[in-house]
Amino acid sequence: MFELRDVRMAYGSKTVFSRLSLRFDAPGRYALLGPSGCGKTTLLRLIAGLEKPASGCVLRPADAPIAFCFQEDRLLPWRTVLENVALALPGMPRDERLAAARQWLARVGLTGEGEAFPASLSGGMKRRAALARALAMDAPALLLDEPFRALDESAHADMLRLVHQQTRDKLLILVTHDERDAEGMEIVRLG
Amino acid sequence: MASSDILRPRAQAFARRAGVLLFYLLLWALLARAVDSPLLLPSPASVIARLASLLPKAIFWLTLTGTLLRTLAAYALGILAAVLLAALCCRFRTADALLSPLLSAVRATPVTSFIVLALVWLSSSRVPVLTGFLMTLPVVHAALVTAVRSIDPKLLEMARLYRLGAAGTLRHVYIPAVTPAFVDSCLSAIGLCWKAVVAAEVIGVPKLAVGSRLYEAKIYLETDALLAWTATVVLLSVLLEHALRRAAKRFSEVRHV
Repeated sequence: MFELRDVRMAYGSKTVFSRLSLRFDAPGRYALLGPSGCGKTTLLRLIAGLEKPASGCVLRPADAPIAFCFQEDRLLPWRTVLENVALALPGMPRDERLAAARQWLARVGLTGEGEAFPASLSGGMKRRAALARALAMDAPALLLDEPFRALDESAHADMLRLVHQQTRDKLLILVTHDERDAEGMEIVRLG
Repeated sequence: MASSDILRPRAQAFARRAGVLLFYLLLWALLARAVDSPLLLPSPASVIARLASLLPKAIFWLTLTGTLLRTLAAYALGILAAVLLAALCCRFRTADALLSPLLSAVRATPVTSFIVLALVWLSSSRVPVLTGFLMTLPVVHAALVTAVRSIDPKLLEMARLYRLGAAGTLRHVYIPAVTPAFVDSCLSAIGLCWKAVVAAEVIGVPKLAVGSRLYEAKIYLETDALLAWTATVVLLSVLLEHALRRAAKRFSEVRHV
């Protein structure tokens, strides 16, 4: 589904990758592991088309939607949590959209928080709301950048289970620092 | 909380304001007595009497309406132009390069220069609208451009990836992000617009205009009339700003429903 060919990526004089070639097939689950600063997020952004390589190319299906859970929550501060999740569900009547978003909030354990604004949520709750938004998009490719950061052990396990349930026939690329998250996934080590 | 407990702070605030007003009226009365010249400084009583004599006259209300309509027209046109030009400046660098220096020059130019220049080009009834427009436009434009440029690019990136489209990004990111700065600039601009319109009326002397009545009061040395009209302008300006503040508050409440 995605392929990187001889990709070189640099920020100023700092080279992040040189001659990197990788292939991510759908359906498939990949875990990107490596120390901080090794380029995991950059690789995810290259795949999503948010960065352009200095040389080489990234092949991706034209117009395929990509659900992305950013390292930061990137929730709109002026919209409620429910409306933030509903943003990922375009093309539906408003009532249906909100009902579906409410279901996603329930799945990530945020029942009752839909009317709250992001500023009133804890770090872990924001993380779950951002994950709900990414999952709600129902895209064939799901790119998650440290989605379980700031979650306690129990919530972490619940969210990992939910992600696996929702991506059975999809492409999942997960950036994580926790090797346990990569269990049963194809591991891509960077750095 | 009992309703009397809610009313008490309001009553206290009202009493405090009334006390301040009374203090200044007393100070004015004492100064007027010390000066002892109605031409230089009429007493508050004579100004209030003059105002009371104006109130039942139809021409008083028509004059106020004339100035109010000019102010509202200038204000609405100024805001509309500011929104359109800010959108152009944020979208196209060339438009920004062309317009920004021009609008900075407009901000820096004394209002009287515009009035005198506009009198050469336009009829005296249109000059106040142009002057108010030129006072409103750069204030709202600058606030909008700054607000758009300070939008977190990460949110715009999110909007792109989640395929919100141009209309969705405008509705969900741009409009909510710039609304506070836009509302604040509109509230600041109304005072400027009001003053500019009256100043242009004083110089251009159009029909049915508060500024024209101020000019006549000055010519005929009717200081009490001058102060009565000034007090009316101040009161109307305060009421207009208060109404806009309430509308802005209502608007922000509706947005969050």
